[in-house]
Amino acid sequence: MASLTSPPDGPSPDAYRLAALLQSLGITHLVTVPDNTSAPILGALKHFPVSASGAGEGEDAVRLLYATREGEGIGLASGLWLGGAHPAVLIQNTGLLEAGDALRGTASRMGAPILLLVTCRGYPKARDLGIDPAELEVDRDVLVRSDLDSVAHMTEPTLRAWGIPYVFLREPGDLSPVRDAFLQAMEEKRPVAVLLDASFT
Amino acid sequence: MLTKDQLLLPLAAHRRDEVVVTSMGVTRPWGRISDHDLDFASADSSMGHTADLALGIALAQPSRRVICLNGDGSMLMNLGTLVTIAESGARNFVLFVLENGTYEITGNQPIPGAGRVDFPGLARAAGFPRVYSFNRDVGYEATLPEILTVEGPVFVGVGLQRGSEGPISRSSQEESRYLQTSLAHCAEQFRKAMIGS
Repeated sequence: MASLTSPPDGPSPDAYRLAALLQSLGITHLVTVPDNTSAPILGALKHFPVSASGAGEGEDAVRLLYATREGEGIGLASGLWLGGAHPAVLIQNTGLLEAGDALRGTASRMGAPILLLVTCRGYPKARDLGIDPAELEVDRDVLVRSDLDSVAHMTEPTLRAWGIPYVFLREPGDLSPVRDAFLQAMEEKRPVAVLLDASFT
Repeated sequence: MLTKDQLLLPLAAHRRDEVVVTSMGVTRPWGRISDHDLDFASADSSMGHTADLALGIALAQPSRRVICLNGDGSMLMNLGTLVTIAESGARNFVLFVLENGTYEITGNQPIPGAGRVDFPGLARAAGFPRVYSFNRDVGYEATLPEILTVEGPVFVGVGLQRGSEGPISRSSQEESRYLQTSLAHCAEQFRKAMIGS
């Protein structure tokens, strides 16, 4: 297992610790469509024994796999699990919405214990306005407001509708939600999401 | 155009311990001629995600060959997967795209671009190092040993006659073992066959 201390001139300590946690949980592959929030996490993984191409160099390497769209990433992760691996998925909440039928028809339908790490576009914008995204009813007024990012308000209702449990990670220094979600996924044999409402830069 | 029997019977005869992932119109026909623990039906599942699912199995088990029998309509729903497969460099992966020009199990509606889309050409453009194409029975069976051993990722485009398979269920009404229980149960059984636990 890697050190939990970020190397000098390396990635941010929080991103490094999250990458180290994924490795310690036994995650074998991280399937992703990257965004600004996930970039530091992916960068941190490159400080572990893994190559940028995804070809792991060590026994316990977390291999990176880039998908062309999020639903494809879910199908890919489900296949990895079928093949005996332990994948996680790192995508943005907009991409989560794109991945609906893939989640329904593969990971959820198969009972695959896949950890979904979901970055939270739109949440900071709502927070700046003093709004909790979960408390606004999603109606036409919310969907057309230019000062809000509608995806923030659709993320949690969508996860509930799809039957996917979720937790928030709001303090990058406290990674316990990731560990808890992983354990829940394994115990309940289903995908579980962690909403990464935090910056890892 | 090949018939399903012309496609599947030689494949079953040459198949040893490869994983075979089926979808849509060939799911039942394959199940009638094969009852292998490493058969997996991507049925009662997602539209267009058979190829990425099968790629995941191949990447998890790099020492085992994985054959994916995908439909042309399914492939169109996720063309980007051709790029992902080529990028992965999965040497143990063989992707068949079976071109019958229709969404067979939902009623044979024509797919977009039926008869005009050049799937082998798309595979080459995506970066597949090995691409085969068969529109007639000629040469297919003779080439199968090479297809099943050559370093991949391998793409095989096959012109297929239209069929008449209806919607697929997962129930005891189905003839094939790999369709008689839930997707979750089949996934657990398949995983046990793969890793023995």
